[in-house]
Amino acid sequence: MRIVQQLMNIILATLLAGHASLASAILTIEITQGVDGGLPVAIVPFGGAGKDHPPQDVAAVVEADLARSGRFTPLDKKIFVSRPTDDKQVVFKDWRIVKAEALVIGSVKPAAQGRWQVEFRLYDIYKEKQLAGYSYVVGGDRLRAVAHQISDLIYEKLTGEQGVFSTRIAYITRESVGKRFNYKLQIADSDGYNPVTVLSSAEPLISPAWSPDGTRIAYVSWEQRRPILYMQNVVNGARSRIAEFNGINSAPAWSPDGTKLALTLSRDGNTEIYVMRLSDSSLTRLTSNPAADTEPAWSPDGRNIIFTSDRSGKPQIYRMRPDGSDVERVTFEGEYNARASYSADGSMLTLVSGAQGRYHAALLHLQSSVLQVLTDTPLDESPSFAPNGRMILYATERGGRGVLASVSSDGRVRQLLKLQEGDVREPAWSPFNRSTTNNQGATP
Amino acid sequence: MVYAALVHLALIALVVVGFRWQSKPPAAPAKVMQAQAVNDAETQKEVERRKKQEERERKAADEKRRQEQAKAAEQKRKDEDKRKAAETEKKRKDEAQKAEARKKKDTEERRKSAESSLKEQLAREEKERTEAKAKAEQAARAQSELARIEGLIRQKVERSWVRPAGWTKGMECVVRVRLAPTGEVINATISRPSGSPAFDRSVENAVYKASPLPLPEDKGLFEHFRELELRFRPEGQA
Repeated sequence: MRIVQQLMNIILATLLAGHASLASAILTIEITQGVDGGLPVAIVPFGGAGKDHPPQDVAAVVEADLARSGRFTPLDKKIFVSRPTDDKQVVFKDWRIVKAEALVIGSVKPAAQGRWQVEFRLYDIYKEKQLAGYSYVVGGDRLRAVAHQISDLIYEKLTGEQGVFSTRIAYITRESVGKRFNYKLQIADSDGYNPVTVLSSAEPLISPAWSPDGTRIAYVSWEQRRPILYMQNVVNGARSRIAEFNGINSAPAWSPDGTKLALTLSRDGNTEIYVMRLSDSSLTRLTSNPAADTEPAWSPDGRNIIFTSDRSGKPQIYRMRPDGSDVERVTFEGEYNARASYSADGSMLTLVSGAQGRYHAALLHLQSSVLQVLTDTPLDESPSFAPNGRMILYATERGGRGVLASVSSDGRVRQLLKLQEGDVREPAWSPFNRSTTNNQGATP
Repeated sequence: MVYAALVHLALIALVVVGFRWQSKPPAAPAKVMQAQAVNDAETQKEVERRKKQEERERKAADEKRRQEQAKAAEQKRKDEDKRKAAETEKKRKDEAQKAEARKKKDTEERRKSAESSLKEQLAREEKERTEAKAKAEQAARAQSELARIEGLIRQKVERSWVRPAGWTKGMECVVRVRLAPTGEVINATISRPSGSPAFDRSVENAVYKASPLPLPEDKGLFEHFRELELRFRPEGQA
């Protein structure tokens, strides 16, 4: 009897101890699954001043920016319970009902001298607090730029990373003019709006490449009936020839510090990669291989140059030191890998990957060597990272002509850019914008 | 031996009964002789003889009577003895019976009391066992209820969690959550950030969005959920 009782006591004690430990230790619950998607954000149409309609729907530009990034999912306005346009009208509960995590409200009102006053506020719905609030006074032609700035602020506040909406893109268009074509090097906002022609030519233009400070673009022009490398200041239009050697002069790539260009020349007979020091135009040959080596690109730390070579029989990506040493093959998956460039953090390459007439924009994760195909259209080319590495701009074909499209780096959100008529190709995403618009960054 | 005992008893009885018998002599049958004058000498002789005879006879009769009396006495004594013995025996038996009964009663009582104390102990032990079992069952029930609620909380939070683009395997964010007894999230604070503000924000939002969190119906178990730790560790295809 005693033994039984003792046993019972022991069992009881153990149970109670277990109970006690349950009570004292904090319950930990593992969460591993979720919905992959953008942060649900409610963007309320901005309020205004009755009759006077601003020339741009600022809220719509912001919404398109955030949606295109893939990091946000703007909510359908039809489900909105209320439509506040100023702080006093915000009821957080209304936004929890529609499962918004963030709220953007604002207004665009006429200001003096035909200008506009733009105000916006960003709220955290669950913490019930304002995260940002700014006011700008700009001319009607700057409203889109202000909208992109607002998008950048929202992006930064909510993701902790720099937004790219105020950056620009460069690309080449081709239009039919009678029996001939007209080529243009253009620069536009990151969403393709406000294009500005930098250069117009009756002969082909290719390979625009932004200098790291975003003030110059190097490109290849056939205006002399052969490919010659030029550099042009995008602010003042000043232009200079960089390389006009015999044969091919192509595929310029800026070193991260902006002092050198890697480029492809065939002046020694074969297509090889060289590095030119811009201060004295001195050349260093990096490759020496009977196969074609081209399309160099620098790593962000300047310690590596990747390039395309068909030395294995098919185009693949290789890596070497900036002096041409330590060459190693980087891509092994797929028959065709070309036109690679680094993400800003150096962890990924974007490239064209494909086989047998189907070429897609892809990501190569360098650490894992995982090749991630981002697009499913057949003739994608010239992928170019956004400066924050979260989006990729590329050229594709739609209705028989070249168009530009962007894809989020997880491949989830793809969107065609709105551009004018004509064939559009060879896009290049600018670095972060150093200049700022007239931002009167006062928090209301 | 029995015979000897009986003889002794008879002798004792004789002494005892004999006294009574002397004080109350039974009427002895008297043989009356008719005197006849016959030859005097002869007669005398005869008389003498007869006298002797009579004496003899009387003696014999006496003897016989005495013997009979003794016998009767003996019988009576024996009867008496028997009766007494029976009485004694009965008494003895009664007493023995009584003693037995008493003893039996005592034993019974003792047994009963022993039995009852055993019963009590058994009952006590049984009660303890039952209580322990009940407690164990309750603890087990509580455990399974905790696990069930944990699962419900996990589901609700996972449905609310919008994993931001760019998450990678190995990212981890731990958030401390305080709950009201209604399940409402009072606050959620990141106790171990992931390094990505977007990821951390998604985690906080997931917790607030999932509010109110499911709680057990048994209010007694709420203590387990007053403060929770949610460990966000994404799995699957990034």
